[in-house]
Amino acid sequence: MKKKKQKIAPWILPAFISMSIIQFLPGAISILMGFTNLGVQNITNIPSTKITGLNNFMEIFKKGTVVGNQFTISLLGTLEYTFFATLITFLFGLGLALLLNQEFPGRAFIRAALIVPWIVPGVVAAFIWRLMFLSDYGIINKLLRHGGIIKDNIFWLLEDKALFSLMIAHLWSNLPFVMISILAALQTIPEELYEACKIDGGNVFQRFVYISLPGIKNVSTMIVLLSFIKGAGEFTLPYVMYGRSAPPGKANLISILIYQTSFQTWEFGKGAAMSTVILVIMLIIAIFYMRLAMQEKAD
Amino acid sequence: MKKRVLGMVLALSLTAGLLAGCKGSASQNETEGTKAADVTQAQTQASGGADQSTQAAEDKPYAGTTIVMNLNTPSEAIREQYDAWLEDLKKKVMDQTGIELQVEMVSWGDYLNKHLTSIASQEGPDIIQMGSSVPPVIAAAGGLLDLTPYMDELGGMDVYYDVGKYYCTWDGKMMAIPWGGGGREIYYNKDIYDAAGLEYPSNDWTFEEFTEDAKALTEYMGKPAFAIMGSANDTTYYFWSQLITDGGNVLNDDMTKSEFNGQEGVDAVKRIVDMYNNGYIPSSFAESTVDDILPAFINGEVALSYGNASWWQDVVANMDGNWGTVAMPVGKAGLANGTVTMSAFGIMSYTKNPDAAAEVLKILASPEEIVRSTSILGWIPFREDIENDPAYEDNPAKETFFYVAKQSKAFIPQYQAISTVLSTSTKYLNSIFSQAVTGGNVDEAYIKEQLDALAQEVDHVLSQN
Amino acid sequence: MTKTKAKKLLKRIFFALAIGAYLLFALFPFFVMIAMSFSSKFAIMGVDTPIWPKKPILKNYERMWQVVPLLKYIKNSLIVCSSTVMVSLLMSVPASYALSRFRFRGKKAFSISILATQLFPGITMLLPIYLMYVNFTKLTGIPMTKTLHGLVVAFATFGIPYSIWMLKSYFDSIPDELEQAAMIDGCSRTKAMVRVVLPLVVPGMVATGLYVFLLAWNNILFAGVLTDQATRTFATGLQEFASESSTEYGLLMAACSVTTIPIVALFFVFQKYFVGGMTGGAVKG
Repeated sequence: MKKKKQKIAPWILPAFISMSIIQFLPGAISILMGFTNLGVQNITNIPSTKITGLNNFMEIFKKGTVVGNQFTISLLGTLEYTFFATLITFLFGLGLALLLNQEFPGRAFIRAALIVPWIVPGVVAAFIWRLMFLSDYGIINKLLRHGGIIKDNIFWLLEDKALFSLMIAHLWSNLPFVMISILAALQTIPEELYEACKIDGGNVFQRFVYISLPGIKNVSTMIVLLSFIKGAGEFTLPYVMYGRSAPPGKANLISILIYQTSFQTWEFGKGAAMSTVILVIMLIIAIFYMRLAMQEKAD
Repeated sequence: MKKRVLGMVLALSLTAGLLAGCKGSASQNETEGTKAADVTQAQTQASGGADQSTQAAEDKPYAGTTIVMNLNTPSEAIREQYDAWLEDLKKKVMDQTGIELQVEMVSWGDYLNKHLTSIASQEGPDIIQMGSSVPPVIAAAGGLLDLTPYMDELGGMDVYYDVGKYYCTWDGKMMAIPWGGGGREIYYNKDIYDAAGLEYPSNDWTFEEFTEDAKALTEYMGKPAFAIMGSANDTTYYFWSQLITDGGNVLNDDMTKSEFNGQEGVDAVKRIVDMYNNGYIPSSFAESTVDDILPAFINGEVALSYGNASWWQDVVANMDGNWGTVAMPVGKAGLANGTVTMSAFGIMSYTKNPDAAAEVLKILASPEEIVRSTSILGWIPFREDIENDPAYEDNPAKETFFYVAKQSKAFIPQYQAISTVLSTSTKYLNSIFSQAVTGGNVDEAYIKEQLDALAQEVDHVLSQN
Repeated sequence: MTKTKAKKLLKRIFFALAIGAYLLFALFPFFVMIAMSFSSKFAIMGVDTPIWPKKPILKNYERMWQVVPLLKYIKNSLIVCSSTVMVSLLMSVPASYALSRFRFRGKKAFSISILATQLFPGITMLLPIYLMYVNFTKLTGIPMTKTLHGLVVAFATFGIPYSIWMLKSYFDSIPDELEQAAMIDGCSRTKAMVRVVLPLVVPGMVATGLYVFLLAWNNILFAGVLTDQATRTFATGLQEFASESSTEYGLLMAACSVTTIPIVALFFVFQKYFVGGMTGGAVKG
């Protein structure tokens, strides 16, 4: 418990107020939109929009319809994508940060080089990966063919592999952030702690478990959460990577489906309903995760 | 419960109070923004322009009016020519009407989003450019001004190709003015044809002849000779035009039911799959879009390619005249149904100056401007009265283009939810083709099953409107 | 001892291999990008086309400025992104500090609601935000759409939740005893925070700032709809390299190469903030 009662308002009000306007308010409007028939027929006259109750929510799960047939596939695809994208990004990021935390010649240069993927705008990253993943002309298959590893082309952009390719591109763009954040946390761990552990006879593994891990735990909790958010909302990559058309099957992530529904067919009601469903699911997962993380902290 | 109500009241009062607070911070930001941005510059320019117009054209009825027009970004090769045309156009509009025309370029990627937000907020550009499938969507939303009353001044209904008029009509009214566009046809590489000892195809070739050529070329080249995109909406365009040339229909006449899943539809898809199975189409087609196919054709990776009329400039620049283009092969119905897409101009219904916008449109759609703009863009004009203009003589693909434009039937059903139908068809076709290239069993029964599933989805869309 | 030597060598080899693999993964696509920036757009596609063009051309680097006003877009992006970073850090540093240190009513609700805004697909909020902007302009006369500050407002508020969550974790990792000690010495809470804690979270702030910067830098959806030709940002401007029937890969990649290299250089300079004794010293003291 804090000793003195602290005035909270000045600390959080600026953030709270601005978020209320640009986030909570439009968010609330968006959720409301899911209960209306906002669409082509009333977009020029929004006040004439009618409340249709749970209609949109029933529609998006209805089989035999454009959205209904795709929604569950997209939803499952998004969950799978979010889970694995977060997992691999974190594991590789952690490994990389641990490596880069050590002294070695050219470290500064390598750190700067590894940041490159982060700076390449998502649009361009998606184009590059598309060109690399193409079956006939793509560089990856070309290398594999020349190396004699494959005879027939691998179709990285089709069917089930599409989701995997998307994760690789995601990993490429997001790894630097995870790496940098964990590295920043590692840097705050005083060198003396490692020295002390070394003197006590701790090996690499022990030093990692007893010193590094606790030191980066807070940041890691956050990184996983942020990666999770980033993965769940992935838009640019799947939007660009499949050329001028929708990604196939599961790779047609929910944000793409919402975009298609809202902005290509102008069915805002349905789009908003989908957003609300995904919000509820993702929030449950996130809160569950936070609980878990906090509990561990308490132990 | 009480706490919750209190919380709500607090939240509400905060939201209300924030407006005042926001005003302050926003204006702070604004000074920061305007200082740096060219906004102020643009404003001074704009007001300066208006001043000039009032001085120069006091007798002109629309002096002092500003009309904003959104055009889509043209391809890189012609950007300077296009900009020069726009500058001349602005001058011409100013001289003739006193209207200050402002042109805003929008990317193909997000122009529909922009139109959508404009319509929803009831403010934005006065005149917009739209692709073939867009007018019904915006018209259905009430976003477009009915141009029927202006048609006499815009050259009359008779000068426009039927296919263009079809795309621009909604609910019996002309909602847009056809500008220009092109057919999708077959491009062929003359060198490879010569080397293989084949005769060049002609516009009335049949599907059998086409297949024979593909076979002979494939054998000669030792690799698949025909490139087609199996991804992106072009796939659906190809499918639909094949279907129509065989005597089939996409939707029934009153647009209430799918008809593409009939035998003609199954045959059309089967033909593509068969060509792939016979080795005439590369396996990469399932993922290909126009971006992948044009370079493949230009590089001589393939001898035949399905392509868009606006390719010809790139092809001319890179292929030394060793290429030709013909209409799509004729199917059972005896109709060489090229696929035609186009751009059109429309006036937004929210415009405050409909007459001034129509005045600009009159100049924009005049034979002179259509000739100049479409010849820069490499399109064919959608006005019959100017097809013999010498400006199109450079266009080596001219004959085929006009042939296609004239005899083709409009193939995109003119229907408000057409973009859903298009993208859903593309999704299903792409999935069929993916199955084929990844070794799945794609027989007639499977195609029928997939098309039926697609038809079910499409019919549901149709029943909603 | 040879055993430890061998072990050390093995460790070194493993280390070099791991770093090498990472470098390859990170830089190969970048190399592809550079290679494409020296190719004509048609030279890219071919079954046997080499990755590095046989005849590299510089044309793309000349041409890109003529086709798209890149300098203006880069300038816009820099203004928008740096203002976004400043605004969102300014707002989220105190908020995240409060979340880390104080107990107050509604703390949980606040944390969860800022989390929720990020889990809600942003695309859906595009239309409401656009309409709010338009109505705000109608009410007050202050232009919001098609302006740089309008973008900053949107991006900054999108950055705040990220910043709060990230910074909170950095604050959490700093023991409260530091301020307590300073406060015993007579500092106010604010003073203690600014003098003692803030210097310690500078690496975290830089990381957060970079994250928010790039979040804004990469956005195409909001930046596409909320801007016009005069205020377009770099990422959205890149879309102008695509026309109806083809994408100018060469120009696109050239434009991207030109912007990436300075930022990498900038990072090279900034990374001092991550490295170094700044933090270590303070904790010691």
